[in-house]
Amino acid sequence: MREYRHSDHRIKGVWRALASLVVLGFLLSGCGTPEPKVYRVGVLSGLDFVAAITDGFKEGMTGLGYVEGENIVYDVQQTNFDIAAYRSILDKFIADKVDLIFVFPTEASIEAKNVTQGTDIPVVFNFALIEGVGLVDSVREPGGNITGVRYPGPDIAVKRFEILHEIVPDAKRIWIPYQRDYPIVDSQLEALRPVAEAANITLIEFPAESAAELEAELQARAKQDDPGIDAILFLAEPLAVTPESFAVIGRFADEHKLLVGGALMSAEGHESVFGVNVNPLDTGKLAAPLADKIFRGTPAGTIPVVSAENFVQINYRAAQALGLTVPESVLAQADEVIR
Amino acid sequence: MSMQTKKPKTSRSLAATLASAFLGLTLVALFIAYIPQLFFFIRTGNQAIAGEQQLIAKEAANTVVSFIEAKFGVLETAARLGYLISTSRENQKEILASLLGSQPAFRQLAFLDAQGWELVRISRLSKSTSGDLIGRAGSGWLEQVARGERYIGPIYVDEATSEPLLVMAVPARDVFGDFRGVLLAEVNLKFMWDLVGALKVGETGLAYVVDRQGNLIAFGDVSRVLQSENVSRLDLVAKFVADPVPAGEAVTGGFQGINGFRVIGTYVSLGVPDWAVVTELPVQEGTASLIRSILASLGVMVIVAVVVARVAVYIARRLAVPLLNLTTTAGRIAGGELNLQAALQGPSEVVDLARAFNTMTAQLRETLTGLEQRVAERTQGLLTAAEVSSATAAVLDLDKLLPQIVELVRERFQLYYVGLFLTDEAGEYAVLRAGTGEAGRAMLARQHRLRIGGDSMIGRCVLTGQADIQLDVGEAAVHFSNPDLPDTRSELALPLRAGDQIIGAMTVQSEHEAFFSQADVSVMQTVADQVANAVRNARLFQQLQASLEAERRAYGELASDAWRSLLQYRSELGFVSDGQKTVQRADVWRPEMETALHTAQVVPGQGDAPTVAIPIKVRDQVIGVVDGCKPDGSEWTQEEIDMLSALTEQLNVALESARLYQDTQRRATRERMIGEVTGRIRETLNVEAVLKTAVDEIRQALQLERLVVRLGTPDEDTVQPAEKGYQDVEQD
Repeated sequence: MREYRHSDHRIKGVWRALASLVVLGFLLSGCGTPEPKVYRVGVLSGLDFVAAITDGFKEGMTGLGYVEGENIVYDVQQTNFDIAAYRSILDKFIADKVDLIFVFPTEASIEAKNVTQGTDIPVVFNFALIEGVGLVDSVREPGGNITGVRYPGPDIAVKRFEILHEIVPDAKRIWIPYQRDYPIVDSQLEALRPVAEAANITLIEFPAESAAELEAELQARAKQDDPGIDAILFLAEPLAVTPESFAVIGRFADEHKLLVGGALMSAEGHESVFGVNVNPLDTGKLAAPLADKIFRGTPAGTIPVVSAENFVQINYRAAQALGLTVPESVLAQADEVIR
Repeated sequence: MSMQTKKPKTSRSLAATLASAFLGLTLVALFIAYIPQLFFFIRTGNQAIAGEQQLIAKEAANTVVSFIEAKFGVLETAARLGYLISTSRENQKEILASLLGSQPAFRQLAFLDAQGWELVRISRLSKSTSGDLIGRAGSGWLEQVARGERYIGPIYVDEATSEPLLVMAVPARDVFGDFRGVLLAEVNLKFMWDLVGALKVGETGLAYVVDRQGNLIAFGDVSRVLQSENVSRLDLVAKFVADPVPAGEAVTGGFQGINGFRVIGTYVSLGVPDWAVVTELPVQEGTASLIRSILASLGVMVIVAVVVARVAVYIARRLAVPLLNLTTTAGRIAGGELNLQAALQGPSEVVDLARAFNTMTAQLRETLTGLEQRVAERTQGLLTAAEVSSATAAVLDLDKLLPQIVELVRERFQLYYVGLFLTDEAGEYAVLRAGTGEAGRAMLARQHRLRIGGDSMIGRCVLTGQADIQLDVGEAAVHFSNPDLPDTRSELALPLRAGDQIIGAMTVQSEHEAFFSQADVSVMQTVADQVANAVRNARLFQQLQASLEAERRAYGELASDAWRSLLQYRSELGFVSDGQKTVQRADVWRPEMETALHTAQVVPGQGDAPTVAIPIKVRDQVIGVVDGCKPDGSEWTQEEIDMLSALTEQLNVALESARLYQDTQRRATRERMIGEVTGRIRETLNVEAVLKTAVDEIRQALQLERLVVRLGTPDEDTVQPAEKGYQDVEQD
């Protein structure tokens, strides 16, 4: 029988102290993990024609580790070229104090930049021309609290004109409908006019407010023996790509066997022949790293604007229906050929 | 001044000390063996990390090189087709368009003749914004291509998109291998970004590509590329910019990485183009495996240490527990458990120690028991001494005191016999004054005495003043030959010391052999000293009583003489009071008064007018009588007689006081007169005047009939009969 217990107590005390330290270490390691932040992103999808940009953005964010419902929440507000709706949606985002506004196209982006002045809510735009609209200071230093994905700009209108000219080299009168006073139209027309002039082609510019106005104009032309149009070219603007407007234009084009190109559209059985644009999914993805960088603490205005690549689509079927021959060189450049 | 007591330092337990020592030695040995191994381990680990990083960097470099090679390969394949040279412009355009469609990185393609003139150009952009492709190619490219070599131009930035671009060129040959033209391509390097960004460098590492100037041309964070960031501030990039290693070789080092963290970085120079691929791995991740290994080995060491600690504790307990148990036993014995025995267990040395400890404890127990007994005995002795002192304090008669003392001592100490001897007046014998029992009474009856300085213990004791002890009858049979005390086996003779004097001795005897010890001698001597003090006090008291009696008698005789003288001189002193008047009369002496005067007793009178005569006494001398007669002729009651006696007593005191006062007054008058005469005599310094004044003043003061003062020595002639002498004076 052991009678002496003093050293036993001391040694047991040491073991207890060690065990306490281990438990404390585990507890502290658990306590040091902060609660993950859930980001709230307001998405203003302002043009149905490229609504897939939102999907591309979400896909890109998912690839960067932002899982919807877990650490990011999207408030997607969709409208189709409605300036008043743009403003009310943006006001809602500001009232909700979202962490970031993702917005497209150009007009909505400009509105977003304006309404977020004086707030600390960053804006990431997409599908927006930046040339001549004051959206950013420069590509490298956008300034303010905004950055985004640049639409290729006026050059894309020229590219559309070049492809149209290659497909229908005999077309000398090209009708160009567009939204009246839309801010990015002028820069496109300015780029386009000298090229058309050099090719001895007449550009028939027709600003309008609605599909009805377009229809009235086209019906008026249809009544004439010579409508005065050899081909129809769309600029990068919202009016022509609305389904109503395109249906009016497509109906007129089919009736008169005219090529419609610039933006790849289809409505009520009418189709355009080609489109030069950006891929909505891809351009949406390009915005994701920008948002990620903002969430990591970089001011939006210091993040350079990235540029989307041209995306050429040829509707070979529509061309054949019109009896047109698409040159091999054009087909070879196409990113997508629809047969 | 206060003194601080330093608290003794508490030592650790033996078990803890032994365990600590074992553990410490083991840990030291482990550390000595582990540290060189750790050093070697770290060095090897660092080398492994560097080697691994270089492999990753070379892999990344291969990816970038493959991207460039792929573009060259496409161009060279197209250029080798003789068809491209000889076909129509339209076909050439279709070929270039096909290339453009299949290679997104190509932004423009152009086919030039051998002189460098553009034959066909196709662009992903509009022709108006595509820019001057040949102008962007730089200089000397045509000569280089003409020599059959590849050409890759410097990087430039597109103004609209801020994206890095470059021009590549390959020669076009005919079927004979002759140089016939140039296939030129503008390559957008943004398509390399995804490749570089996707390069896997560990878990959290990264890779990027810089040109010869240190400009960032490919990186996962495209924003920094679009900003045309120059990263030559980074140590490793600076080395590349300053002095690149040959193509394919790698350099590794630690530095502050592109994101500001400390990293292990490696760059690989590509050669052509003159870029470098840089990989970075955070130090934390790069050294994680090494640290894990170190921690694992440390863990093993800790486990070994823990095992050693357990073993050390076990061994320490085995060694220390018997000692600790012995310590516990000692503590309990110190706490009063004197009957405990230490367990005889453990190593032999500890068993020996326990055995010795038990022996020591037994001795201690016996010693303590003896001490307690002796303390009890001593206490009893001291109590008896105190009792003797208390009992004798109130008794001053030696005849009563001494027997009490001997009985008390015998009873308290359970002795056989106690006797007290006092020295006689001549100092020759010690005479027995008290003794216990029959033996004592018998010896007192025959006035037992022992010669001081004789052979007896009492005789020697009184002579030397030292206690004498005899413990065994066999050794001193002669001293125990008293037939009155046949059972005595031990005897102790103690001197009775009164100051410096030995006034006697006390003998205490027991029927047990060796009954008395030295401690008993001390106790008994204390008792003897108390007895001596009591005897001395009794004697002093008797002497004091005798002195007082003598003084009282002497004073009474003086007072009697004084009253006799007074009454002789004033025989008429007496007063009679009848209620009408009080008159002095000396002729009233009735027979009862004379009787009371001579008998000093109260004498009641007889007859028709009963009287009572009460003597007036001063210092037991009757100096007069008070005689009272009641007016109504009734008998004197005893109460009345007692009252008159009491009043007479007061008269006695008053008379004595008055006599003393008168005596004092007379003495004072005499002293004053002497002073006055002396003063007059001293008023002059002339001898004759002094003598004359003296003879006059003294005679007058004493109212003498005559006074003679004569100086000098009388001659025979001048000596005359006294009578004649006075006559001459009168005649003078």
